[in-house]
Amino acid sequence: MPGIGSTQISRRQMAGILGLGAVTPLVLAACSGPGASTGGGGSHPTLSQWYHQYGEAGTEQAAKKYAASYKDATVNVNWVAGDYASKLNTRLLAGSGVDVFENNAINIADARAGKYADMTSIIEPIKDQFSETALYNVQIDGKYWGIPMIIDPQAFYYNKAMFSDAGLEVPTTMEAFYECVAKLSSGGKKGIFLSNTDGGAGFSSTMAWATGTDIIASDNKTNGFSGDVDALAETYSWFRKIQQNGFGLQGQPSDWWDITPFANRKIGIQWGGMWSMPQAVKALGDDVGMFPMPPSGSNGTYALIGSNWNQQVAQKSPNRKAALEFAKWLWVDQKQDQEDWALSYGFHIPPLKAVAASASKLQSGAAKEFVDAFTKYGKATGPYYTNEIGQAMEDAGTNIIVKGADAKTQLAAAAKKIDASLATLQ
Amino acid sequence: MTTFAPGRKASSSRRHPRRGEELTFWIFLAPFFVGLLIFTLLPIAWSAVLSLFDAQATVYPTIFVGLRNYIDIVTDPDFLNSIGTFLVFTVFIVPVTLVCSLGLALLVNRLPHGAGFFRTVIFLPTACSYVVASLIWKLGLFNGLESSLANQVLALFGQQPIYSWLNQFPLFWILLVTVRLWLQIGFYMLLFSAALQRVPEQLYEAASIDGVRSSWRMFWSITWPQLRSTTSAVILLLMIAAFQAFDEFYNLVGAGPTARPPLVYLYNRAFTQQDFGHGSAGALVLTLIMVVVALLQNRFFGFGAADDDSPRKRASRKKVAA
Repeated sequence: MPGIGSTQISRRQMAGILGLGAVTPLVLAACSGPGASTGGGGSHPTLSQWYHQYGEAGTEQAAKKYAASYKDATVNVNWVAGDYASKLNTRLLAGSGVDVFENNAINIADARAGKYADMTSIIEPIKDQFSETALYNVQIDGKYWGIPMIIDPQAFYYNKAMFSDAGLEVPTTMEAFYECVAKLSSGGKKGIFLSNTDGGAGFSSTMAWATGTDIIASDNKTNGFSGDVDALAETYSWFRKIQQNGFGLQGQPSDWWDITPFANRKIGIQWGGMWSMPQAVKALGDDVGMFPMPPSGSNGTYALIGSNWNQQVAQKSPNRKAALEFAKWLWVDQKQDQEDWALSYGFHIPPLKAVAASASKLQSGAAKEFVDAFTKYGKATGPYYTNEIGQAMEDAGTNIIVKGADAKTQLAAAAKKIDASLATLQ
Repeated sequence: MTTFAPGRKASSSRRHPRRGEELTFWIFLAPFFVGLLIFTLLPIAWSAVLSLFDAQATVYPTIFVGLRNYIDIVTDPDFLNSIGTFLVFTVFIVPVTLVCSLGLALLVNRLPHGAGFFRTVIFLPTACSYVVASLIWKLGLFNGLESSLANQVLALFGQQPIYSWLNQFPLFWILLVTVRLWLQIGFYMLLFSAALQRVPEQLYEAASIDGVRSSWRMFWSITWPQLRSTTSAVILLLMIAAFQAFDEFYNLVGAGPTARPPLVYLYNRAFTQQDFGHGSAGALVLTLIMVVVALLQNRFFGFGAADDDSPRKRASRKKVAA
């Protein structure tokens, strides 16, 4: 029997080595993750469709039901938990494992780096049927890179009964807004829930719009607020006062996107998304109301942000054509599924105007108030609002609101970063 | 007559291993070397390449920018702030962990019974993930609800609950330091325990015979000098671990400016913003900083050098020679 140091390799050892060699590629293939597409675009291809993990119960089953009803391809739904954007970017960078996917952060660098398939031929003939605000988020360099799936407006929820008890009116200025929060915070209570950590700095775009300015100038070349930095600084100062006086609820198990503190009547006002409407109405009934960010400064206006989730196709997908056909089938043709997706779980506005107009759930109560406010004041940040710019604004906002830093100095620093970021995109 | 020459034989064997041994060596180690090459060396090399290019949203960049990414990184106030955050964190976590782990090791070492049990119990948190521990700290111990453990303790003393553990200075440092302390104290306690067991008992006996009665003096005169190399190692490992802090910061205070250490800054740059050029440059700058720190500690404390080659022993040899 040969020892370990022998040059002879027994048949069993050789079989083991060969077996290891045979298994290794399989293991590596398995390590490539879930849902890798197969085939090179045959007559019945298999597609990998990615969703981020929605919080509402039933959404995963609904997504799988839509996919299963598609006849021209086998669509495997991958429900991705955790940091969806990073995982998706890694796959798009590698160019494998994802064919069709949802994305709420379409960006210029990725479009120009050839990660997204061009969807202009799908959108262009029917672009008038979509919400213009929703389409603004998917348009880069004159092309469309995604089909809007849902619009998520964000604004303030308020408890009508609490307002009535405290003798409060819906605020029409930032000063009145602050007064509302202060009154609701009497007796050691907290009046508002903005965020666990940043005091509302994450809503910087809406704050800027409420002053009549923008984070990015209309030519997408420089920052938009440095010309009227005083108004924006004043808006931040109201949020700073809320933070400083301890009027804001913090330290909750989940953050602003979860309406639970408002639904539990812990506070009278909460920043939230329209997706939470069913939960809020179930808990509070007709007491649920909403209002946009109130105007501030001489050019101020009400402001409301609407972000989209969009269906996209990976440019490097071996089944690109089939993936494009599936995306069009689901998010342009299947109007019933679109309404189901937008309104049977959380509430979202369907980007196709006809679907939104026919949705009975959006025709009354606070949901209608949300839709009306979005139609009138709703804006989108657009694709030039990069993660770098978002980080710069959040840093500035957190430093002003939470740390009490000088607003103008912080906004000047953010303006510099925004200009630098935009310069790389020209 | 047979000549027995073990030294020569062994030496000859080392120079000319048998072919079978060579094959076995490569069969066992090849997977490791392949893994090292693919998952460590190539990424480092590719990172070095990326750091010289404008690599926005791509790992196959075409625009060469030279050292611009490096200049941008070292002049970025956010990067410098992240180094500041690391320094503040290090100032707290290194001495606190060092003192607590050494104290526990001394206590457990003196136990007449059950030392193994206590070592195991104290070591257990090391097996817990940083993410899980951070969530326990965030959702259970230090959330803003009246029912959180921290607020219950405050209530016992008649204090109002605190809602802003996660963003109010200096409260968030309490969370960041305590969660890491809980997670790593057991590991460093084991290192000190092992070192304590290597201290020769005769030294204490000799000191006792010489009239030393105070435990405090025994510790400073015998135990502490005997633990010198372990202490140096622990300090260096603690500093490296603090430099690599990510999970608890990301999960407790987020990626914002509240307390952003270098790796969270790099994560934002490379993964959130997909700026792989600046991200890679930053990673290499951080690596360089750690190499410099390791070399400096080697120069001053001698951890990593062979015992006979430590600065103190070199100095002592010089004295003897003089």
